[in-house]
Amino acid sequence: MRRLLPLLLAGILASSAPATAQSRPGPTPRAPAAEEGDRSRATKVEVRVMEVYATDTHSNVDPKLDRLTRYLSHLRYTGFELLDTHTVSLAPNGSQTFTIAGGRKMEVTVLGKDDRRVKMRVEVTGGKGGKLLDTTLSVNRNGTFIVAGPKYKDGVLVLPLTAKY
Amino acid sequence: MTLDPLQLLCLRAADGELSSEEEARLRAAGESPEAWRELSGLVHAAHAASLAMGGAPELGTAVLTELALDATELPLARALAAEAGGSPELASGVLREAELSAEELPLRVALGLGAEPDLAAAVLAELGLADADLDLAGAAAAAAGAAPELADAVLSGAELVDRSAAVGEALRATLPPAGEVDLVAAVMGSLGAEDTGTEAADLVAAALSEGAGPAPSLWAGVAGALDLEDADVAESSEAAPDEAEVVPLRSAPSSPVAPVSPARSPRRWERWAMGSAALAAAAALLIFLTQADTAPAPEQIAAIELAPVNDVELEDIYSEAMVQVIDGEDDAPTIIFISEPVEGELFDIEEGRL
Repeated sequence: MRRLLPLLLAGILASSAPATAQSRPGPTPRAPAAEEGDRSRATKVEVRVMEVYATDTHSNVDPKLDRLTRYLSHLRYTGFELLDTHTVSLAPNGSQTFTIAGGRKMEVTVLGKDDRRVKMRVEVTGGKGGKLLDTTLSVNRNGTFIVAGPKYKDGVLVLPLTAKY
Repeated sequence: MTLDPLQLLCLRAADGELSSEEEARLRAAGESPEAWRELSGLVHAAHAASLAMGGAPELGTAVLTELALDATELPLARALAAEAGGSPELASGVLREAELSAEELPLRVALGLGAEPDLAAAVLAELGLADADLDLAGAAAAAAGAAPELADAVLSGAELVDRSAAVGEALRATLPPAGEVDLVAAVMGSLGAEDTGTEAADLVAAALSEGAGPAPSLWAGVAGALDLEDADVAESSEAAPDEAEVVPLRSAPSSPVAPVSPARSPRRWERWAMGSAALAAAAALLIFLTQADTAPAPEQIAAIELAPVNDVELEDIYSEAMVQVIDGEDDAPTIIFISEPVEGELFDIEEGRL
């Protein structure tokens, strides 16, 4: 019996550990429980949100953003620094709230998808609770759009959002 | 040479030792006993006169020759005996080792120069002391000014490795009083981190400074470093910390070498407990790793991937601020620009910024 005790203990402890953790402890996913197998993965949308600090105090550009900065020329900022990246897999009607720099929050909800496009709702709230953005849109498969403008330090935040599936 | 009876009687008459019968026989032979007594008196008078005129007979050289002694060593021996105190037997050996001439030493003594400088090394050599011992003696003599330094020099010179109570006693005598002990420096030195230039060393030093215990704890540490198991010291420090704080280090209890009890083999249930604890720790680590923030650090974040086509269709949009939607050309991503106007600032639509 005593020989089996460590194995039993290991089994209990291993089963108590979460299978995966895909984001910071802060966000509270409202998606249904994860489904198993390729079928569930095929139905989910991987949402990736990057936090980029745009400033005109310098002209340094993070190499990881090289392919993006040419589209940001409209904003007339010269320096782009990648602060963080959030990635979450959301099933239809699944939602995820990200805490972003400056105490703001971005909530992304996948409303539905088909083979070509995904429909989602994006909400951005300010540090004091004001709603800076509440939009419903659709983006093509693996497409990217950018939410920009929240103030951060002496520049602004640029939040590229990509929906992959 | 043999005297006949008549000559014998004449000699005894000269010495005044004749009996009446012998005197009668001498007179019968025609000799006068009085004449022989007068002659004897003259001879003694002449000898006495010669002694008074000629002084002491020259017996010294003859006697020294018979005894195989060198006459030149006699005054030197007296001088060495006076210098050597209770060890006059070293005199000849000292003279050989020091290669002193027979006249030099008495002359030095007479001039008040003394014989000590040459005599010390010579005496050590005569006693058969090895060079190492001589160095040790020299180290001790050089360090004789201060007792602690002397102890260090002697221990170092002799390369003593005996970690016994005697060493502990010497260390206690060497250590400064408790109030002067720099616990931090001592501990840091024992850790091999005397240089507090590094951040880790500074942190350790700060922690030691804050958590430094009473003075006897230093002795306990020293005793431990010397493998001196003194249960009394540890127990007294723990049992009476208040007393321990005021006990100066010099008066710390002695630390005799106590036998170390052999390590006890863990019992069966203890082995199980240790194994279970290790397993639980590993499982806790597993939980920690799986629950930890798995968001990659910026350095580990992959570069942004943009699809060849990035087409966005807005169904509705609301904002308490001003929003501008910038459609890129061709496949460029759409930009939804939110302005957070501060009072007094206006959003520049054309510039796309405040």
